[in-house]
Amino acid sequence: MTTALSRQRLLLALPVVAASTALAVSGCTASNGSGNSASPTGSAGPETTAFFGQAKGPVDSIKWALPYGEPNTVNPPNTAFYSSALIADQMCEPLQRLTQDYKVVPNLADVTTPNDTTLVYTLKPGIKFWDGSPLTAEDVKWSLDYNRAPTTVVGFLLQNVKSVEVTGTDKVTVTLSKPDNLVKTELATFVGAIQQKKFSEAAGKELGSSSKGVMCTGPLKFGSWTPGQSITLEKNTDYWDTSRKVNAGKVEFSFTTDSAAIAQALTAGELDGGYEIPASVIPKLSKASTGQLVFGAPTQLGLGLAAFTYDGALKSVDVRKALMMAIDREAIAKVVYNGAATANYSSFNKDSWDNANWSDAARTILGKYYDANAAEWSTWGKGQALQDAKTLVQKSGYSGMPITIATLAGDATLSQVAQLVQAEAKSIGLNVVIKPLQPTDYSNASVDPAARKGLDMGFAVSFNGAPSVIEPMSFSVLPGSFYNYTNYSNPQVTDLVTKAWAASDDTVAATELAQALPLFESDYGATVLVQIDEIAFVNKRLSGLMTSFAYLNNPALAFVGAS
Amino acid sequence: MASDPTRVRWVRRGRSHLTRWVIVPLVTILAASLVLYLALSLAPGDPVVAILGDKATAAQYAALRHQLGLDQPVLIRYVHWLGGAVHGDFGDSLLYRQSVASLLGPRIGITLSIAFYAAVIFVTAGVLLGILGGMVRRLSAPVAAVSGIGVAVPVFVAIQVLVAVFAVNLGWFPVLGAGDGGLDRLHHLTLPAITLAIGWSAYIAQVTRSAVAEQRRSPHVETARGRGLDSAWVFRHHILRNAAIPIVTVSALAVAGMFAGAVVVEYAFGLGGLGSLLVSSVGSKDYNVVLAIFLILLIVFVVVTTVIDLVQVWLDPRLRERQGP
Repeated sequence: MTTALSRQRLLLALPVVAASTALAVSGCTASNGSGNSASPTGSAGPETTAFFGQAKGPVDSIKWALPYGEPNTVNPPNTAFYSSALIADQMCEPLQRLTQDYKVVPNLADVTTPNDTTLVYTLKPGIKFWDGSPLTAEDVKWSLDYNRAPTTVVGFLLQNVKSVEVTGTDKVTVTLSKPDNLVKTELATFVGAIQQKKFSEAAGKELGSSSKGVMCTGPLKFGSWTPGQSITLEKNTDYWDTSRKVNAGKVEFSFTTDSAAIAQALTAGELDGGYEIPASVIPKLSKASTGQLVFGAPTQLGLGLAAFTYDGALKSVDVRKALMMAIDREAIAKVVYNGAATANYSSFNKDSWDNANWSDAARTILGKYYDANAAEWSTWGKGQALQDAKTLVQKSGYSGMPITIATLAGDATLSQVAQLVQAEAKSIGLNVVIKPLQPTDYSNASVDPAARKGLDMGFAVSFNGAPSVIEPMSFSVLPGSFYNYTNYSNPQVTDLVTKAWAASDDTVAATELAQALPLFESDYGATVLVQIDEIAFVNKRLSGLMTSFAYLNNPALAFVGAS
Repeated sequence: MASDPTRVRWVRRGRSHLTRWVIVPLVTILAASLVLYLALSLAPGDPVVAILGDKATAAQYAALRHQLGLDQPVLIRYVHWLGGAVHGDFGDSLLYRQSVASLLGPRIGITLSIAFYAAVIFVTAGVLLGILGGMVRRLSAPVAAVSGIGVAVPVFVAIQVLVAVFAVNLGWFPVLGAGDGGLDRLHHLTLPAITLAIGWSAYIAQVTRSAVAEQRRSPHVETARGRGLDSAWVFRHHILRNAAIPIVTVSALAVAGMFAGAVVVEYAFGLGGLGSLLVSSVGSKDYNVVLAIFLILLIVFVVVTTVIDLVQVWLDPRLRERQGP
């Protein structure tokens, strides 16, 4: 059972999640998920799907769980946390949006790219804010400038935006300082959420707080927020997108963080559902008769193990490689995540490029790289691989120096993984010490080098905001980047990744990445051990829920209806 | 007039009353708040990291730190806070970007409701049980056993058992939430209040049982009975009146201690009270919120201990004389 303190985790950083194995099935392409394919894992396991069921009618009110507790704000560019993003995304929309399979499609606007440093957004006509006033180009310019300011949590993702200008009554042009193929995708997430200029300026620093809320165009509008108690959103009866039916009349969010309490409330039907259900309560919820668990794919969640420093036990690349070879990724997926994860054979989430945002050709190129990895890495953690790892350890001259791995105190899932890895390491002669860190120390460890003193590695669950592998690579592979703790610097890798980031043709990007990834991985410094599916629970009276991880950038709850 | 001994005695008693009931509590609160502020500043964690996340640049952190006034020396910040607090302005929450008062408002009600509800339960149940155990010889051992178990059961175990039985299985009570006012709130807070009250009722029962039993065996009670006084009268005026002192003391301390126990209960039942806010605010080093909540708890504690003193003085005339010059 995770403690409440571990809850306020920055999404893009170090939180906890769970996932599922089974067949990852992508739902259909229609935006409202009309009809979907779901391949049950086999016998009675939860299904894995991008979109669950189909809404057959309106539903008066829905009570939804927030396992990560009360948000601190609902102001979109500051909502890089599970709870706040979920709520903000029901209300505020980006110019383009992500489908359940991560395809970028028009939303408030259509976009053209006359060259690789220019994006021209043309607003659709007739879109109104909840107060009836029309959405204008001025509102769009204001919002994008607001979101990219360095004072927001997500501002850094738009740092290559040079300017945002109104270039027509319904046109806004975004100019980049250099080619950056992530910007267009980031703007289809909450990073590009559009708010009303007038209301937002008047609200000032209270924008997104419990007293003010926000003013947006989305299918659910801000109803009320009683601090400590609940947040209620209400149906926007004049929602502009008539092709998608708003079924939910009212959604009320509960702030309980205790996983046992949430499981009990779901089982008793007191709560109608929730995302981010902890893996530890999967067994209990599998028996619930009031509804069912659903595992969501594609996903951007992954369990990572990363080195913090090579000055110590991890100095030798042979030791690092041996450690990687000793870990059985499949076992972690099955045992620790109760089947809600898949072994990942890459240093980054497979779904970060294996999604509809990438062309089939690009996916094929990267697929070849992945399959080559999988052929070797799937043998790790057992049999001959363990013998080879042991030999590697001996060859390296490893002296028995402890390898200290940090994990989050109170987090049952990470603790289990840590213990598994420790045992596996021991079997090949490596001495792994687990160091649980209190939540504030754990957050500090990702920011402050002093806080990482004495630590060799760390476990973390994190996710990508945009469905592109370039995003996490830009954080850890380039010199001087946020997560590049070991100061990894390989000029060839840097060159390849920089080119991939600037490429407007994703097959070019894929080719570059397919070379960069193996080079980076030959350092054995960081990896994503398993890919974790989104775990949700839905009461049997509801249907039509987006369950892939794209839910976090969509007003998924507005379209849930009666089953 | 200056040499009037009665007047001098009265003035000195007045001054010592002032010191005892007003100045000492105030100084305690002041000193404690300073210690807390310093302790919080030394604790690990950086509020700007909690707000901006871990991908901001060092320049961004510095800018926000400056904007929030966090780059000033600790003592200066404390003095600023104190200046505001004295006027009733507890500042804004760093994390929630709204006034502390608006954050605490709805939550105080919930925490007070649970604590009060639990207090009613444990005082009633505990005292009644204790009286039974103390007055009826045959019940003495059973009451001792039951209260022993009650004291030993950890709160989170009690929660699991009670919720599984009464909320999930029988469906008599909801699993979580604080309800929507009035009877609905009472309904929602019943299980939380009971779980909070179990340990304390057992404790009160033990104290009551032994106090009552001791009084029952005392010489003055035997004398009163021997003189043929009505046993109900003896019970009220001789046994209970004298047993009341330790019972009142423990009850009052239990009420104050209840706020600490409220944290666990608030988490388990998803009640948005002060306890859960306090824990999350400490984690993100939201100074203003932590201090405001702490101040409330401190004031409650000081008020309660002061009330205990007064009640004890009222109950036991012997204590009144000791205050004299």
